[in-house]
Amino acid sequence: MRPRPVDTLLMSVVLAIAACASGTEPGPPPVPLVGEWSYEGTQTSPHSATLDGTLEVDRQSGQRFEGSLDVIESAAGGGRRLTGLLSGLAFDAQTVDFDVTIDGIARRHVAEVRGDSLVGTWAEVSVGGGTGAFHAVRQGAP
Amino acid sequence: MPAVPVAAFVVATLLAADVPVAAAQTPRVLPARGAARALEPATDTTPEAGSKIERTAPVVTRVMPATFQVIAVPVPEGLSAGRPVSYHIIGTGAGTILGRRTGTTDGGPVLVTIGVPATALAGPLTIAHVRFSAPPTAEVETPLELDVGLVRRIAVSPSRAQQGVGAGGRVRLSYRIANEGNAPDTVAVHVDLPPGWRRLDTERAIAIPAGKSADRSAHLSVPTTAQPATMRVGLVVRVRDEERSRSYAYVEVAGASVDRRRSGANLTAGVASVVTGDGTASSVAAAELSGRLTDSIRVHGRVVSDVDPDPAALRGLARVGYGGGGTPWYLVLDAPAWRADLGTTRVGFTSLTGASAVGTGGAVSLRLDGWSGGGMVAGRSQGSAAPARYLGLRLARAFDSVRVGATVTHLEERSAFARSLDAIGLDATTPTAFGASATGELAYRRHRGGSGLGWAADVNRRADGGGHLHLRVAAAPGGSAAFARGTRELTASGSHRITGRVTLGGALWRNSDVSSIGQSVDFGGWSFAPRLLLADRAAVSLELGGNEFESRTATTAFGSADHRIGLVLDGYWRGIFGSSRMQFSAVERSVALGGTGHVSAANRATWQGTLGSGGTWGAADLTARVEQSRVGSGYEPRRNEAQLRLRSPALAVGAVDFVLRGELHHFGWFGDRTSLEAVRMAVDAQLPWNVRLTVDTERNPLFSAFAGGSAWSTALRLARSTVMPRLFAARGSEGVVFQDLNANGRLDPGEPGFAGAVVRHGMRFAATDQRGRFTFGAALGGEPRVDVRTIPLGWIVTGSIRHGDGLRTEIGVAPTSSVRVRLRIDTTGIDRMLEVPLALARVTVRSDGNREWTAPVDAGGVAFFDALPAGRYEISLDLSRFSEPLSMTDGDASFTIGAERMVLERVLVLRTRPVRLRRIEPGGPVREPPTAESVVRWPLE
Repeated sequence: MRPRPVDTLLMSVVLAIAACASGTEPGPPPVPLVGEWSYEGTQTSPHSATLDGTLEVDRQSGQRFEGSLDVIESAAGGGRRLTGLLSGLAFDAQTVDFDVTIDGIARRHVAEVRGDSLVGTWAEVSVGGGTGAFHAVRQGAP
Repeated sequence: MPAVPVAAFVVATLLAADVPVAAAQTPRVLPARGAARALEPATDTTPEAGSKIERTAPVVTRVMPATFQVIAVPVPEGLSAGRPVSYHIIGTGAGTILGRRTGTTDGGPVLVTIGVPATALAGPLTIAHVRFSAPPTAEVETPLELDVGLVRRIAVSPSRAQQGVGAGGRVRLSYRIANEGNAPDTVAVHVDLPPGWRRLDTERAIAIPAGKSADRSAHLSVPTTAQPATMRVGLVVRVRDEERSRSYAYVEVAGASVDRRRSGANLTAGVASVVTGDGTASSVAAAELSGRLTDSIRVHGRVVSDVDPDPAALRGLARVGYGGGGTPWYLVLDAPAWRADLGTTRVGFTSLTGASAVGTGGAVSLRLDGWSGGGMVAGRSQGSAAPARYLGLRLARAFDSVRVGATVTHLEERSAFARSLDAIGLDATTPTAFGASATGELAYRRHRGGSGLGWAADVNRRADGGGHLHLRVAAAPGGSAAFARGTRELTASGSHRITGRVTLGGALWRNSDVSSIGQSVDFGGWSFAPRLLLADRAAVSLELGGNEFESRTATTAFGSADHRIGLVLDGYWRGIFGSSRMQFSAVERSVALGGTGHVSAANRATWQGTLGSGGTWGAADLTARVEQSRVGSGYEPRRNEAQLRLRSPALAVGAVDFVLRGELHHFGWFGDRTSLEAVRMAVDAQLPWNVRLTVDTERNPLFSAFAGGSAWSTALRLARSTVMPRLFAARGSEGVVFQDLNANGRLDPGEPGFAGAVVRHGMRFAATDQRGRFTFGAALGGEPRVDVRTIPLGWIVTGSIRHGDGLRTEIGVAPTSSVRVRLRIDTTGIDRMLEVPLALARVTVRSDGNREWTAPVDAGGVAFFDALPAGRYEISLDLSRFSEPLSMTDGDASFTIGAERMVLERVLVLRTRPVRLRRIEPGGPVREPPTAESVVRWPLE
């Protein structure tokens, strides 16, 4: 019996998605990040705003780490709460690179680890998206 | 009825087996009981008085109304004994008995053919008696009883096929329910309304006897947002939830109602509170103003008290419409020739002279005879600590199709990430070839980091077939740090329909910018998306594209590049829409920090599907999403998400209208982390006295998980709206449609308004409100007229009077009645043959308002007036065309018609002299001889 087109399509989806399954990055983390971090940031374009909240890393395995960001964005038009899950990599003891997905749009953050602080810049990877800088300070170990 | 056709009918129906022959057992003889009462009517021949009559048990036959039935009636036991038995069928008058009524049988059954009336009520019905006699035995009578089956039939019809109502107004929809069945019925009439409409009264059960009708109405409210259109309203008759009948009325929505046209701005004062699961509460108060201040000026404004900066409070308040914590106040006045902004003011000059800032101050813009322009003066926004100054002036002039403008601005923000711009610019917009328009701009820009000449060029073209083209090239020294979108821009996008089924779309973009903290960012990308229409409402699209991004500071650089391919299917079928998007991408990311660089490459696959529908029952949609990403793509490795959203239709309980909303959101990570479910429920209720209540409760573990505290958050908003009077309202063409009770065409004291009529005035139209008022909102020449389709059948327009300046019109409508005037010839004492052609008469009725109606007389001597309005009338006859001298000797030649529709008849008796005379007119016109049909021969043959 010939497979139906729908079956073929579904099978293609499953196989294609499975092909993109994530790998793991075993080994010790280059820098421990798990814990709660006080997050302060600025947005410099397309309009100015301040960001104030909490960055929490709740799991780390090898270079990978995951967590969440919860901030209040204050701008001339008023304030709003922004939350999103984050996923990133710690390449070495100094360099971390993570994305926070807020309302479906990724904000990429790249920071230098300076002891209990993270200092870096961020940008939304889209035309007209926001850019800015941020500073996070560790509040306590897990 | 002639016997032969009846017999033929019976035989034919028997042969066709359509008429059942009732099988009846030989009846048992019972003592006579009230035989005399049962042996009616007088039209039948009755047996000799004094004879002894016994009665058997009845022969019962099940029948349906409006059918014929042949019933076999056996000869009672003991009566025949081999002798001939004579029978006599005696009808009761309850139905028709066909064929012979009398006869003789040798013992076989007597066949009786019965015509069951269409109006026969369900249940037992004695239709005849068959009386047998075989002397010397006593007579025996067998009743014929029909068991009439139940017929349920209900009809509903609107009293007016069409009526009108203004948006935001109310309409009473009258209808008649007729029980055309043969048993009492109890029904309920459900009114099937367009979305947003509401029934103000309660649907009640109505008991209607068989063959009767009931007049009822439904009081409907039309939303203020209703657009001018003719809407269909269903009248659905239900018996115990089963639909029995359906009819439709049409309601024409005619712009805003009279009250709304005369009302001013809407002032809404409200309070809102947010309570989280741990008991923390935050409250705000707000006032909003929106609507027409005068006929030509609209106002829009809002002020909100300080908001607690608690994150849960911000989100909760946003859910009930008070979002944007710390949102300052603003007030906008907007007129056709000018606009003024006060309070929070957004900077909105050109792309090179400043287009993205918010301050507190004021702005004015003017539009006058080809000139336009405006200015802005504002300082730092409320809630912002950093000083700021926004000043600007713009002037533009249109020369035919070319517009030229000049702008001067001084914009400055002194925060840590300060922006500044002093600019002077010139711009022009002109039509070009192929229907496109082009805009060019030059501006000198001085900013904190330097100065330079900025330039921009835009070309826009929109094709009739739906395609478009947009090109933009710009350079703005200073970029976003000087209130521009970037330092360099290149955008090209377009779509073009190649055939009826294939559309190509694509885009190319490149953007560079340097922010105020020295972060330079470059974006670039492309997309190509051919779309193939598979059917009327189904299509498949291919998505190809790529993005490049790079961010650089003095110490850090990071970037990414991705290429993607996707397939999209979308369609709409029988009210259900759906889409499926599958996308694969290859991502390469780089980081350089402190002299160390890292590069990662990863693949990513996503699928998202949506299914939804909406209608008068409400709306629902379901969205599901699955993501798989390799480490290094920047996304969580595995993720799934499903969201179900539901919205009820507009519901009502008593005087409360409300809408329910629900949302269920699932976040899953395929076991990598614990899945989360967010739930949100809300009710938005319109209470009496213009009070609106919104309650929105949410359990969102995403927020509580990050910020701690309870996942629950409930927000409540209570607001009351008050309609302010409109200032300086100018009069427009207006008036009233009234019930002209005395049909004199004038509006007299006590005459009520007529609601639901549509009044047309050229291309404009308006509907009358509950008081009969209508208005067009503007002064119009000419005369408005009632659309007669929107007044009930049998009603007429009695008059239309314009007053004073011609802006007010009073239009009378009234029900009419039919009057039949019958002429009769009195021949008492006349012994000769009279030939009176009554068609030569003319009958005229004259109202007390001196209006006349004349009707011809038919051959039977009847003149019919089918639409006379209310009033007192006198009948006059024109008998001059008769050769026989006639005069009216008897009859009431006056009558009165009231405000209710009625049917009247007047009989007027004419008499001639005993001696016949014929008037001969020498040389006069020859009268047409009366036709045979128009001659009444008297005495009647």
